[in-house]
Amino acid sequence: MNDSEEPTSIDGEATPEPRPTMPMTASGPTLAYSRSHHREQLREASDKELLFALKRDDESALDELIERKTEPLIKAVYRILHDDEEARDIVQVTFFRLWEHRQRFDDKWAPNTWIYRIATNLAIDHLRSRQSKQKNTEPMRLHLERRFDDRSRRQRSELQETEVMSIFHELAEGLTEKQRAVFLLREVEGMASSEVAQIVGCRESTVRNHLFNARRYLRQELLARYPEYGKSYGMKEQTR
Amino acid sequence: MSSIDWQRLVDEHDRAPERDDDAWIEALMAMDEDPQERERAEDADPLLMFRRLPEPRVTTSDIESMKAAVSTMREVSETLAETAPAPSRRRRLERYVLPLAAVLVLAVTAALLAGYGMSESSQIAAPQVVATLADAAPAAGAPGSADFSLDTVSLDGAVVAASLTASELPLVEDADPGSDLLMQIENDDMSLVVVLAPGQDV
Repeated sequence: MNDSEEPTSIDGEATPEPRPTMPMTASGPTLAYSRSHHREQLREASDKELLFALKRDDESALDELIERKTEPLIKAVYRILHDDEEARDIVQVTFFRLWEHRQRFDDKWAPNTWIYRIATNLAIDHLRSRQSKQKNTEPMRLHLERRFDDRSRRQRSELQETEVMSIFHELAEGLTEKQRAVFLLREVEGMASSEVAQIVGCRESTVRNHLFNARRYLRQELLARYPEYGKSYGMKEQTR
Repeated sequence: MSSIDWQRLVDEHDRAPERDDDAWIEALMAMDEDPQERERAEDADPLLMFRRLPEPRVTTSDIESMKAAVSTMREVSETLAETAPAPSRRRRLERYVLPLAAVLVLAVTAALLAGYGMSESSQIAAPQVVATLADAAPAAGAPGSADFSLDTVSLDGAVVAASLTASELPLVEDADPGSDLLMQIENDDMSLVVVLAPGQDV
């Protein structure tokens, strides 16, 4: 299609009005509409603009969000659940919920907070239901996990990431779901406390309490179960 | 030799783990980049080893699969939403159509039983009464004790509705005269009472 022709969509319908939140080119708003051009625009759009485009039922905006957020969300949810497949399922449902509840998003939310809130709540719910199902098989599961204890232990610096993960999830069994999520979002993902509070749906003072208790419990358990990894810290504590 | 005083930073972080301290954030960045710095940091706080939690690999094909899966979920959800009756339609169905259909079925069945396929001796008499609470003027007292004044309805000559007095009407607790439907079929051998109460899923 020639740019000078009357703009039409690929369906032959009249072109929608220029979208106010979409970035304009240096020469002003682009009038010609094509699907590929629209996708290019979305690629340049901010997360917030994408979420507002979702509110206008723009399916391409959802695809763009999936491209941007799949990786960080899978990583964050995986750390909470310690299961790759489950993490991917939860992220899938997160995007579906994002679409289903697209009209609820508004300016008061930071886009990342909104998206992580959905994912984290789903992960916490999943963790709860999984833990209630696991109660019956707990002794066997603990036995299998403790196989790690029987191996010759390595120096902390030589631990593989998967071994760090096993240790964390063994210790984190004693945390509540929220304590675990708060610890991971704040201490591992490095999010601000105010953001963590919004994601988990509590006050900042509660985040502080969750963090404080989680850190104290994890450290205490680490020193008790894996004293070699906290040797220097344990010695420091004794000298106090 | 590192210039980072990990011990001091960890002590401060222990006291106020919720605080976003620039020095702490810079130290963490240095730790993530330098294995020796990491060793010193983890000596000061072994919990810092959990910053090494693994990250699953996400490829381009994973992202494309995610798009396809989410799109399928949306399509299924939209199809289900289209095929399921809207709440208002469902309510109308519960309140009016189903009771009406039930009345018709009962009336037609009764008429058929009365007229066809039975010997004279085993023939069941046409229903004596079909009454609706909705037709009754609600009176004070328990539901079901209202005085009924019904029009007589004739179906192929058989009387299927008649006046009820309070004593003849069975007592139905919690019935809603506004929407519930009561049907009673009487003959010498049996008395069948049917209550359709959409509000109570009965």
